[in-house]
Amino acid sequence: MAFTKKVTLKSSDGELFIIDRAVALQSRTIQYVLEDTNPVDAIIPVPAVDARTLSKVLEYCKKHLIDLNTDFEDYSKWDKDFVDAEVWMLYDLIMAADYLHIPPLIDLICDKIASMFKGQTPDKIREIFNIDNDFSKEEEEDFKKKSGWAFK
Amino acid sequence: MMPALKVRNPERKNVEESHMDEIETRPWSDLPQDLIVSIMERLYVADRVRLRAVCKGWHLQPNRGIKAIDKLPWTMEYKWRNPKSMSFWSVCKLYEPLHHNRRLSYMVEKDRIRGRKNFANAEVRASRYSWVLFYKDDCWEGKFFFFNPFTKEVIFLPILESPVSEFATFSLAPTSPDCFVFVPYLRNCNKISINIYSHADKTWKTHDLVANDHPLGTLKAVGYMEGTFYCHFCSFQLAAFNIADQEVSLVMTTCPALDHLDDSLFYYLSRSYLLECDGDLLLVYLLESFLCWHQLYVLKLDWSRNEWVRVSRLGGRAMFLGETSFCVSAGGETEIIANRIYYHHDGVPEFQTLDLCSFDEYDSQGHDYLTWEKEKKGEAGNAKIYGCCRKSLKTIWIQPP
Repeated sequence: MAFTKKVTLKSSDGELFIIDRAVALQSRTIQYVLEDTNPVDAIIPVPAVDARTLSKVLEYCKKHLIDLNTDFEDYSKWDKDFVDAEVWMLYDLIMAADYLHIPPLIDLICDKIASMFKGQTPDKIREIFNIDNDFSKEEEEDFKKKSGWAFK
Repeated sequence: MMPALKVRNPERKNVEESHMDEIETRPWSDLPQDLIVSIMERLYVADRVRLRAVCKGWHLQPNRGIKAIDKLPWTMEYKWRNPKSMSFWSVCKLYEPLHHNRRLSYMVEKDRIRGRKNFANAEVRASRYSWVLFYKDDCWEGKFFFFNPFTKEVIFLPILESPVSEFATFSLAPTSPDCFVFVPYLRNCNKISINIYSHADKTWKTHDLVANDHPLGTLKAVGYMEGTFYCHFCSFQLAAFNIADQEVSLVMTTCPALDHLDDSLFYYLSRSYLLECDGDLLLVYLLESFLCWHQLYVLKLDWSRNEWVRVSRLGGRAMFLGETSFCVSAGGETEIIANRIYYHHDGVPEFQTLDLCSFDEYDSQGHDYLTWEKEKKGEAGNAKIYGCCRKSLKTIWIQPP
């Protein structure tokens, strides 16, 4: 074959991942790199993603490549377990999926994060996601005054 | 397929290993805006409002064009305290349609002492984009104002010196400078005055239109579609006001589907609604009869022939009729209520469901109209996404933001 079937990715912390080309092609970012340069046996750096996150992202890409024929139910259960992760991991994953441009993974994590927001108060959301409240007392009162219906 | 081969880089530092044990935090408040938008697009209005109140990074402007997940209209129940009456409170409540067995209600305001005195006796004229246009007839002076129950904003328009305006509608949210308010007034059977308020100019302008050929007849319904306001008269003439040209025009339309009906029906027993859906101008006639059933006609304007043709299927769309009316396009959430018409009007304190799917059945029996009955209790439970409302309060359909 003219193309090499393996691709090597290098994470931000220098770890190397040798994966099937088809797996890597699920990332549009990598797809563009491969189309542009077609690096034979070259290492593609992924400077925005660390090894821990990259291995998890690749796990997703592999699963979704292999299991194209599995029925929907199997698939959704695997996805559900995949995003059943700590919130910091969800952050790393969504940022990686965004950088690598893997739309189905972005959708999956957005679904997960949205489900965590449902029915929660701003205080509870700040607690779960460890976010500082940077609104002033006046601004907070203004929300309650204007859209108090949503906070009760 | 070969499993991926993981090669450990010997230069990897131990510092990072030890880092893993700590409680990890991430700068969630700096999440890229397009990701926040995709998350918000998965949430209903109340969740979105709360999410915007979490931190400044997530406080996206409401007009950022986040797609609405709530395609279905909500209902708003209200009563404004009349200072002269014995009722001691003003109330305004919003109801979400049922999503996955949860139907939530939100109290916008309930005031036992002050109430909204200046809202008392105001009547709803139209609603779009979560804004409600009210009209209040105060000592022969017409007062129009906008109220948004989701944000509690109120916008009063300058006084319109015109007799009682039974019909009015508007084009865009009144926060937009391109918002126009349309108030037609039938002076006599041949002459109509069209009052147009431009939110940019903050003034009312009046355009007169004289029908030379045929009398106009009663004004039955007003509507707005793609830059043009429409008035439907029982003579089936259609007056149009184009915002860009600032011109009024009049066309004679025909409607063979209704030709067999007695004229008096139109004068006394019918209600009509002019709606826009997916680029079609729809006219709905609801004829109340003394018998236990009603007749309903859904008509679509064929622009090439100026003819109203009967629509036999809603094509998955859903219609909401009442003092404010909406037509919701097909797909997604609307599937559970597809092809149904929800009807609510003063004096009819229940939502009634019409199922146009049965149209062909009626048609094959030789009927040339669609009859409908109130949906039986317990039947088609999935269509019951709107509950009953209280008789003491007014109820209207409202689009969530």
